[in-house]
Amino acid sequence: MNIVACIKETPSTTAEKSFGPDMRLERRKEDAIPNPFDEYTIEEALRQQEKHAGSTVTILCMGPATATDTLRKALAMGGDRAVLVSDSALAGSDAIGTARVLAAALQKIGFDLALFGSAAADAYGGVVPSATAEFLGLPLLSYASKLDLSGDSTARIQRAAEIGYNEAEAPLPALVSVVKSINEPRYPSMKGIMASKKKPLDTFSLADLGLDPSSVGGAAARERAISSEKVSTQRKGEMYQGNEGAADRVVAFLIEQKVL
Amino acid sequence: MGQPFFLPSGGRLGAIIFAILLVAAWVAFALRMRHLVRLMLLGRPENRFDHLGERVKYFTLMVLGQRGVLRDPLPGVAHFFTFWGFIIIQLDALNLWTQGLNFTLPIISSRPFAVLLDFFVFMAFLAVLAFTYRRAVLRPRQLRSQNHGMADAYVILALIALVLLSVVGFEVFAYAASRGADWTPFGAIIGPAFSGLSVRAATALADIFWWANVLIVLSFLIYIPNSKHLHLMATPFNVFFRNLRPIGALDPIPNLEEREDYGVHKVTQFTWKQLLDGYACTECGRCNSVCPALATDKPLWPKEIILGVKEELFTIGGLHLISHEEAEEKSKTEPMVGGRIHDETLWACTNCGACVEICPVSIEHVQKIDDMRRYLVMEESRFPQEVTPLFTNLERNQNPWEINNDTRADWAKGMNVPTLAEDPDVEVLYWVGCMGSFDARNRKVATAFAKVLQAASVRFGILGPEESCTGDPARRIGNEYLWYMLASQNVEVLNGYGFNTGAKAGSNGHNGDGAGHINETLAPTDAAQPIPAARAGVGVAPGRAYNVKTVVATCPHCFNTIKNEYPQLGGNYEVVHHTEFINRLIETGQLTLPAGFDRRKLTYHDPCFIGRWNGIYDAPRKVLNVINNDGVAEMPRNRNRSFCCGGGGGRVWMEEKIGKRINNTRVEEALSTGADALAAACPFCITMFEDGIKGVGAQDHFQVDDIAEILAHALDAQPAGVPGSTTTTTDGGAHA
Repeated sequence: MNIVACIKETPSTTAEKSFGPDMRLERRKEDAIPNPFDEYTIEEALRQQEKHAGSTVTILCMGPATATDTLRKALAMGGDRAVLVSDSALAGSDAIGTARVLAAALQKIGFDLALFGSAAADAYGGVVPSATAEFLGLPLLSYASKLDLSGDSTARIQRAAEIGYNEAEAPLPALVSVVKSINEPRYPSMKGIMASKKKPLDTFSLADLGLDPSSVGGAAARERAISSEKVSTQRKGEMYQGNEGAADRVVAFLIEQKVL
Repeated sequence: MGQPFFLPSGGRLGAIIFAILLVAAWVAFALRMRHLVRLMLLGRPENRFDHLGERVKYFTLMVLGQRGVLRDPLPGVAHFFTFWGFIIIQLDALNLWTQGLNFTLPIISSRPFAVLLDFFVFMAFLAVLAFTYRRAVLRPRQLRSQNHGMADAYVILALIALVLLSVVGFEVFAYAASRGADWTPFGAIIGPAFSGLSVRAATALADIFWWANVLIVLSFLIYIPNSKHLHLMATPFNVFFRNLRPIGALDPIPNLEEREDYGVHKVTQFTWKQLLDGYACTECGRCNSVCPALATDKPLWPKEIILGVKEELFTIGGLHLISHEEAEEKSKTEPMVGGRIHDETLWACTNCGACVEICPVSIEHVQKIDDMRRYLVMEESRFPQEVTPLFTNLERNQNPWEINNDTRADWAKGMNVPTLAEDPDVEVLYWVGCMGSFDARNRKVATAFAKVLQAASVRFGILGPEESCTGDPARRIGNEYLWYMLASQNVEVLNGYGFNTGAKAGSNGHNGDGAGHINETLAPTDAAQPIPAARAGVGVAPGRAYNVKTVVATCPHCFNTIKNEYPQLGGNYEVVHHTEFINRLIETGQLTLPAGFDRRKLTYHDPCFIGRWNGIYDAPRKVLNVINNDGVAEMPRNRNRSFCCGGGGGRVWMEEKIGKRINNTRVEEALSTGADALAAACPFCITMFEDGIKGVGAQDHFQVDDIAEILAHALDAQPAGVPGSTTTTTDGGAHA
């Protein structure tokens, strides 16, 4: 079985983020990490590989040429090879553009199961998995908290509901997006880190994928950021101390806040 | 060479039989020893042949002087006499053997030797009684073992007793048989009682005791290397080859990026010295008795780790001597780590070093534990789940939390503390550490220490965002690679600001010919010594505490890592702990305090990483003695016997799910002194004790303060003036 884990390179969650004059997030190479949600994507790919002997895991990413470092970090967890789609014409792509590229890359790689995180920690759009499925004309099982592949032909997932869970299934090949509760991502072992340096890593350009540069990138983007402002993270706390009246004041506060 | 009074082996035939037995026993002994040495050499190489002079000195003290065992008086004194009794009885055995072969040697057949012998026979006999009493009646918990029953010990005690009795028996009847000519104290005292015996009968009885002695001693010779009393042979070597590197440092993994294996999971991955540790272990269990993990019911028996490794060596190692393939196969199907030695055992260790400190035979437990942790982390990724975010954050944010490292200097905002980027010429770098920089509680310590430095007019700076975690938690948990990355980065930064005092001092091009005397300036000293030309511009202020660029750390873990481990990466720095630095400021008159300002009853907790691992016990106490007239109300376990807070060895980042909580146990001990407050000197200790104080419900009447905080309180209350200009030795003011 060919399993492809689709990941994104994002700035570190703690990195100072700023927008350039073109209202695009300024990405610094030294802040780049694999999207934290995608650690679950990779982990799930590896667990499915362990369960299905003879499977291969490919890690796929669209990003700048420097994203090879991020892919090596991802490969340290495991997987057989990585593919980076990188092309100067891709700069400024929106979610739909990204999905178009990933769909083309997935088709070129060939797959039975393509895994996605439910969103990326930088933009939180969450539409890439479904848009990719749409471009491919294949089913997407979204927000999976559990994934079972039976007989190499069907994917069955559980999706947490308000009470209990829903179950859904689809024939392979299919796309699945996963949520954090699906697994506990492994920490790369030293062997993994060393092995990752020797694993094959291919870079595809738009020409390799047969895509028209005008269909992707900033020019083709239909969504764009309009403005941004810094959010103050200073939290104001109020402290009531002592035995006299503190409880009453807490209750009064909660009533005021319509909690009670 | 003389002749004995009679031939105790009982004639020519007896002498021949004895000679055969003697040779056979020695051959059996030699074969066993050869086997043990071959097993030991399955281990990896390690150089323990350096500093021979120091080794001889320590050997004399610990082996001949028995200083290690004497720290525990009852078994210590008993052991002293058993040890020396054993040596002297060996000489007597030689005496008896030569007699059996019909000749005698000078000195050991003399009367003065007989007096010495009988004195030690008597004392050793008392010692055997004391040992038996301790083992059978007192039954200290530390003597219990899972790997090994009690039988071995009783067999040995019985053998020793029988050897002693046979020596006395022989002496008595030899005296009687020789009609007093073969004089010995026991013979002279007890012998006359048998004066009624015929010479023939007395000789026959003497022969019987002689044979008894010979047979017991020869059995002992064969039994020793097959029992826990192998320590008789191994301990002197183990003490001689002990670790002379800074004990606070873990050994690095060589060729980290080019090797196939990490840490230890097979017994043959230990070094020969680590394997010798197992031979040297006498199973006394002192390590068990001081282990904070064991004391709070964690599944960690330090002794069992040493014995477990030894058992593993006997089984897997023994197989190696026959077939490497089979041995490798067996160590896969029956792994040592996760099998004989459980994961939880390894994770329970706080790296406090109490076991290493107390061990009378120089066994190094902690390095072994961390070697096996390295395997778990680096090869298997098998570790407590809560450690994953720690590693990830250390990698991405250079601190243990999900906090941007750019905010590292935020605690000092408005305090007029420069970063080295702003003022690269400062004399003193305050290494704040992650706790002091980010943790709300420990930021107060950083602030307090900065105030103390300012009050003493010390020109200092911090690194701010250029400082990264030293790597201590990563290394202690077993992630050597992460330690290496963080440490390399820090070494580069420190070297960049000219803090390296090592041989590389000429590398900045300023003082290529000044390198010859730079090492002399390493030791902290008051005297104005020549300083490297590159720093001459800085100048040495009168009364300056240190005259090389100095790193001061409030965190003992940072301190230990920079001081003892960064030299492994070529980073040699003058590093002092803040308690030492403050003490020095007081002693040189650079800092004056309102003496006796703190009126509380204080106790002091020795942090493991400045105490046991670095020998800093006095400086913090001296400071407390100045600020508090009553000084320190000591806890029962103090100084090198201090009981860990539970936070070392990366434990502060892990959950404590098994047994009692170590921090609560220590807080209870602190409360038992009747103290109002616990003076601390380590951010991990403070964190653990803040929890522990709440854990035992003592927050209303007990608190934990860093020594710097106690001083800052005093300085805050001091009337405004020029700090340090007057000596305030009288009461500095009322304390709330």
